[in-house]
Amino acid sequence: MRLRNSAGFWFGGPVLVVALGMPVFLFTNSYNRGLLVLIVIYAIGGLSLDYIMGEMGQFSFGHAAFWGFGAYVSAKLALDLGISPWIGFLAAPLAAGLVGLLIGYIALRRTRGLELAIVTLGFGVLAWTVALRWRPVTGGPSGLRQVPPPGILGWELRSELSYYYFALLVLLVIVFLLSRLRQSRFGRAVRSIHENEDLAKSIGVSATRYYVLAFSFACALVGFSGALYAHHFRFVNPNLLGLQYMFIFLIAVLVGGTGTLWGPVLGAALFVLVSEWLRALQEYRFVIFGVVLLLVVLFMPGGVFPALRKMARRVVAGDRKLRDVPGAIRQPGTGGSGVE
Amino acid sequence: MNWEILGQQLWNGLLNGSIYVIFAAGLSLVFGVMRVINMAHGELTMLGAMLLYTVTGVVGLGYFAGAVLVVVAMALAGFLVNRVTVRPFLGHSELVVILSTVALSFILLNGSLVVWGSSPKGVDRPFNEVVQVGGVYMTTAHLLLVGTCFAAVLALYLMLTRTKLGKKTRATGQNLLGARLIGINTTAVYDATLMIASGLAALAGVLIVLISAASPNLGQPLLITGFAVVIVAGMGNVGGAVVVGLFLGVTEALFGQFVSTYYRQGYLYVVMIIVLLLRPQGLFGRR
Repeated sequence: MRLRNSAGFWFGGPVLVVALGMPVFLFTNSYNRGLLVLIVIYAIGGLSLDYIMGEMGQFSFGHAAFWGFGAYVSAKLALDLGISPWIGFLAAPLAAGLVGLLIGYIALRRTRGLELAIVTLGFGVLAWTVALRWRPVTGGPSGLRQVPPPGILGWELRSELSYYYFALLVLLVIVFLLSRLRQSRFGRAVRSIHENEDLAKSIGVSATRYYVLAFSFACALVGFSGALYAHHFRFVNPNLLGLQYMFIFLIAVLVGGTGTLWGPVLGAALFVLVSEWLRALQEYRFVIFGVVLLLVVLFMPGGVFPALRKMARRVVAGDRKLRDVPGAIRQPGTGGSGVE
Repeated sequence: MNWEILGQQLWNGLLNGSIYVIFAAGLSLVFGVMRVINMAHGELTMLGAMLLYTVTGVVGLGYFAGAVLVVVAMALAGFLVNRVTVRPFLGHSELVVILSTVALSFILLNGSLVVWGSSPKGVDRPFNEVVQVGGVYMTTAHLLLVGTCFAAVLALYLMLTRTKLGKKTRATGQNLLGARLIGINTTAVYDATLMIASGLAALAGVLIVLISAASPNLGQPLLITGFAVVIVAGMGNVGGAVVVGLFLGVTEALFGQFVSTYYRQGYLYVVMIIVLLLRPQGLFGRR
């Protein structure tokens, strides 16, 4: 337990420094800073999908639909009613969470596992069709444009830099809250259903109720991420609800590592950066991307983050072994101090 | 009511439905036997259509020779699909296999865009004589499509019920461990399953060019439609997929004619949602 916390800390600390320094030292033009914003937005989406995959042990293939739905809700409120994006940031997760509650109730009563994946895919595709066809409300295939950015006291978060720091702050708060939620009574109940549904039921945990609530929570979170996207990139279109973004979240979660909290964040960063680096390959880009994806899944089936953590632990454990050997030369203040 | 329009739409629906049937049968077979959601199934069909374009249009084979060559080659490629993108990942979570087939679909789709470009390609159809049956116009190519579909479904049915391989396949799908215990080589069954599914996908591809052009972008919409069929039928139920594929193809055409052309695309998903609400396990699913 202590080891896990400290590992999280030793990972989180330097990463935070890097994340804060990125736009100042490395990602200096607005295009590259836009990529950073994208990483944070995908990371939140990945975290929410991972709540379903890692904590519930279930799978939603319609997750991008809630992402796009959140984006549309917030954009629509701002464009048609002139409601502040800050209220949109609250309304989007609320709306996505309510729809998630309904769909979760329908889907989770009967289906689990791969069947659930296909069922949620069905809902996702229907949502996509509606966004594409309901022209008066959704703007049809071209979507909605000129979505306003959020502002504070007359100052608009228009620049990539300001929006990045804002989104990063939100991401950190979300990671913190998720880590608390995992340890809460609710989080433990959800985990117990994941471990053994029949056993959980037999000790009085209402499996369907907890699962529906957890599903709805994940939908709310991804809806929020969608609203973040809408007010930064300042447009929404039906593609946001489609398979493309579903794949991105899936890649963030599985490449990063399920159930690891930091995994989806790392996965989102890897996805954005690798696909950006591959841009030089032009039309071969996504062919190579597919090959890279296959290799990563082949060699690190549990994800990159757990693989890194294992490596780090081996280094730390190696140190401890050295100290435990009688007569080993120990120098004060070197190595392994992060463990205990 | 104009009976000729009704007849024509029934026929058009039957054409689309035949494609849905062959496509969804392969998708459902893989899920039923291997518990794998093959996200690359649509790209296999696309590859079938594009390869047919190349062997007929560029190499110069006839339609029939080309079609047989493509289907056989794709069936053999199904072995590689299993060994490269499915088998190495089976020991892990079921989701890892989804991701590896997603990776395969990335490779196939974008590789095809590099090779063939994104514009649709017409393939020379073998015969295009127009036949009129009671006011309904059909071409001989259409008859070929429907006939091949029924033959393929019949062959699949006979294979699954009357052959030793079919028995082994069904046993493996029902109980993997049990099948292994009685000495069934489940690895070989998995190879065969993906080879059959890949061949069926390619067959759908070489038949699609009889009613529309071949294009690298035809895979993904077809995959979504295939999932709709599989959901309505019940996951892994091959026979159900055949019935539902035909039913949805025909009723979709009627919906497009008599209700709304504009929302025609949405029809399948609305049916799917209604089924999900009432019977989440599908019409033919058991739970």
